[in-house]
Formats: sequence, C-alpha cells, structure tokens
Amino acid sequence: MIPESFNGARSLAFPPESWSTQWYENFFNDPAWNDALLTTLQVAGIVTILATAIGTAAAFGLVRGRFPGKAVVNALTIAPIVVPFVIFGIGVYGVFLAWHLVGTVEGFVFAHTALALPFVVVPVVAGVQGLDQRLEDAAASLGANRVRAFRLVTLRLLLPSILTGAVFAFLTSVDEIVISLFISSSTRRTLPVEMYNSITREIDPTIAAASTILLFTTMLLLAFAALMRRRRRYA
Amino acid sequence: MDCVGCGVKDPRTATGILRSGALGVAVPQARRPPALGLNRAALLVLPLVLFLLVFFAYPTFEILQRSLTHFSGAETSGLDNFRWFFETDVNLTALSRTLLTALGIVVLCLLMGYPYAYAMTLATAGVRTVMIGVVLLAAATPFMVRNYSWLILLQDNGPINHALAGLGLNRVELTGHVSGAAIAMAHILAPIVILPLYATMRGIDRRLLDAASNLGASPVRAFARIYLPLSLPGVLAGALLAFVLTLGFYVTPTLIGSQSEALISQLIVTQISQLLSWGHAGAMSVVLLAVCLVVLWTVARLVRRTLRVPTTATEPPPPRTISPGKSRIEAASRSPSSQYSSLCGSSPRSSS
Repeated sequence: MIPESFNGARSLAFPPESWSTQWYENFFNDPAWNDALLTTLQVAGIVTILATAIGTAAAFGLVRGRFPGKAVVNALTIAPIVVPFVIFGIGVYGVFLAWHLVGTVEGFVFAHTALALPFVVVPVVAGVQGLDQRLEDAAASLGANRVRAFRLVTLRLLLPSILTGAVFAFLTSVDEIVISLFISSSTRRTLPVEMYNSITREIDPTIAAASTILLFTTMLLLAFAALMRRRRRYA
Repeated sequence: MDCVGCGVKDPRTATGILRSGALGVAVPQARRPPALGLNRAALLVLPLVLFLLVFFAYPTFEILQRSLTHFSGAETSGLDNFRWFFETDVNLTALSRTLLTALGIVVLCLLMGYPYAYAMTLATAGVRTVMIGVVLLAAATPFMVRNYSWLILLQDNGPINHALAGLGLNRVELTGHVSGAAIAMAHILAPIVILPLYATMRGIDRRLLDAASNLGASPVRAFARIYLPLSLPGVLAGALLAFVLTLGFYVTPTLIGSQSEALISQLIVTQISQLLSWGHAGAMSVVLLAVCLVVLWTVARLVRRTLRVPTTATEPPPPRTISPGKSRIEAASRSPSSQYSSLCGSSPRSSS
C-alpha cells in the first residue's frame, strides 16, 4: 500500500505523454491555473501569519494563563479538525454568503485560519511547556528588561516550535479543498479547487504538472519543518 | 509532542526557587521576567477564542440550527426536516453505507497498519527511520495529488487492472464505486492509524512476552494474551480517528466513487448545491455530527473502562509483576489522548 503512494506520485510525474515540459508551460501560461496558484499563495501567506500570531499568543495563554474554562478553550481549539469538514464547509458557505465573503481572499483566509490554528497551537504549547523559565530569569537578573528578555531568550528558544506551526499552517491552507470548494467563485479559487474542477471536467495533463509542483513545494517545506524539529530537540 | 493543556508543567516553580534566593541569585521583583501576570496571560487566549467563535463555532451552529428553521417543500415546521430524513430511504441507505464504509476502512487500515507498526518496533534504527519516513511522506503528499493518483491507479485502464489482467484475473471496476473510494480513503488515512499504533507499541516491554513463554505460553498465545491487549489503546485511538474522519470525507467519494453510491456527505452537498435546501442539509448535518459524537463518546468510555487511571505517555512502562491481568491494566494505562495530538502535529493532511 505504501509503495503505491510512490507509484501514484511517479505515474503523475512521468505519464508517457507528458515527457515534454509543455504542461508546465501550460500551467504557468493558462490564466485559470495561474490565478489559482497566485490566490493559493496569497491566502496561504496571510493564513500563516495570522494563524501563527493568534496561535502562538493562545499557546502562551493556555500554558501560563490561569482562567476558568481552560478545558473548553482546549476543546474549541481542536474542534475544527474533529467536526466533519462537510458540516463546517456548508456552515461557512451559508454564513459567508450573507457576509459577502464567498469568492474573496478574505473568505479563504478566515476559513483556512480556523482550520490551521490547531496545527500552530499544538506544537507551540509543547514548546512553551518545555521552556526553562530560569533562562528568562537569568536574562532578567543580568539586566535585560522584559521585552528584551522575551525577544532575546524566550522567542529565540521557541522559534523552532513556532516555525513548525507556521509551516503546518501554510500547508493546511495550501492543501485545503472541501471548504475552499464551497467558498470559491467562478473567478476566484485556490489551486486544489482548480485541480478538482479539472478532474471533474476532463483529464487535462496540466493537473499532473500542477500536482508535481505542489508535491515538491510541500516536500521542501516539510524538510524544513523536520530540520526545525531536530533543532528544537537539541536546542 | 504533548497534548494541548494536559500535563501543564507549573512554570513558576523554577522562578520560585530563584526568587527565594535559594540559588544565591537575587532576582529583583520589579524586573519580573515575562511570566506575565496570571490574568494577563489568560488574555492571550482571547484572540483565538474570538476568532474560532466567529469563524468556526458560529457557522457550524448556524447550519445545525437551520434544521429547525429552514423548510422547503412538504416540510413546514418543527422537526419536519428530521422526519423527512428518517422517512427517506435514500438517506437511510446512504447513512448505513457511510457507516459500513467507515468500518471497512478502519478494518483495512488496521490490517495494513498493525503489522507495519509491529515491524517498525522490531526493525533496526536505520530501517525504522526509513519506515517512518515512508509513512510521513505518504501523509505529506498533497491531498488532491493523492486523490488524482488513485483515480489513475484505479481506473479501468489503470495499472491495477493491468496487473490483474497480467495475473490472469478478471478486471474489476473500481472507479465509480464506493469500494474504489474506500481503498483510496484507507490509503489516505493509513498514516493516521499507523502513528498512534507505533507510539503505543514502542512503549510495550517485550520482556513480558519472554516472561509469558517462560511460563509455558506458546508464541501465539503470548501475543494474543499479552501484546494484543497492551496495544489496544493505540488500536482504539487510530481506529477512532479513521472512523470519524471518514464520516466527513467528501472529495474522495465524489471523484472516485459515484453519486449513485453516495455517502451521506455527498447527499448533504447535493441538498445545498442543487436543491438549496438548507433545512434538509442541516438535519443531515445534525445526524452526522450526532453519529460522530456518539462514536467518540463510546470509544472514550470504552478506553476508560478497559484502562484504569491514565498516566503520561512519555512515562516508561512501570515495572510489572508477572500477574498477567494486573500488568495488562497497568501497562496499558498510557493516556490515549496524548496520541491524538501527536497526530495533529505530524499529519495535517487528514482533511477530506
């Protein structure tokens, strides 16, 4: 079964008819694919920043804050990946119709950020729990003010966890399909939605080129995340 | 990776030691490090809570609520949408088909994943790294790429049918059927089953098996009485996740399966996209979510009943007596909840 995944990927990368680079040219020249790619990158970029900022702050709050209903907040954080995607998808569609967010970058950003938050909060919570508070105290005792101690010590130690979360947030957004399918319009859609449409319309080899590009981008980012994780382990 | 919120280390202990001057370092109170006042730290959670309430909880609640407020056709009030759901054969067929498919996928995943995870615990470090790498690579492949690959593999002229023909077997029609979609979904969900299985199996003390065989148990008996029960938390965690995620799959069954063998998720989308019947879709969502929650609740209860007080996952297995009944409970009491979060971190591609 596992080798099949390689099989599948390979047969995408080398279907007999696409030995030439024409599908890649097509991918970059066809406005539909092009716009989808740009939208995806734009959305994923904003989602990464938004989810990382909100998620990192929340992780600090969850570990160091003391407040009633922490279990509820925990449940709420995880809920977007537990509730069936279809339900969240049509819910968002209904609400975004009323808010005029269907087919807009903002719409994609809000929906994707909700899905990406758990993937930021989980690693950063682990990172904050692993922090040695004495290091911050040491910085303070050596005369650093709060902001400086936070920037130079805390943030630097947490950077691998935060970057891991950011990479996962980016990938979640780039890969999201079900909800994007609902909130796409004929003029604005993300790459997975364009791929989905392409499959349902006709088998167009451009999708193979798109898949290959998506695959390698993902792998590169994950290699980066793995590197971060290793750094965190030895940090 | 620890799960959110559980096992929160008290971060103030170290500070307390320092402040008390026990280490001979005087930390001035005025220059408190950003341990943030307790209430102020709690405020940091606010953006997340507000964001998820507006963009997640409200839309989800809205669609569920529409089952009681939006009506079309013959339904006019009250619980009519639910009456419609349970009186329409297509819905009930789709619901039972969805549950059966989810069950089949869980069985498939366990049949593939259990031996794989078991082999991982026995492999040398190098081989194990490769094996984990393969699982993560499969998990990391973009979702649409995997769907497209399976569509190519399973199609009537695809490699699988060529291989079957080469072996002198009949070709099978896989695309356009829920069985083909189930194969693809099982592949997509396999990493989610394998990772908690491996996490659990890694913690099992193999000397227990030696002890069992010393006491005269055959290898099969030792495995069935000792190893299998000990690995049960991982099995349950993986199976639960795969089952619940299958219920929400829409893209794979639509692309590889067909509308005539629709799963409940496909029917929900049809109600919206073709019939604009929010009430029907809402009622179906309520039923689907209820099934999800019942399954989650039942398995959680099952886990709690079979296992006693949970401890942390990172704890090494406690020393055990040979008494098989007791040791089983003790060793198996690693918190299964921590395995969910290990998944969250390592595999974001569970989206359907």
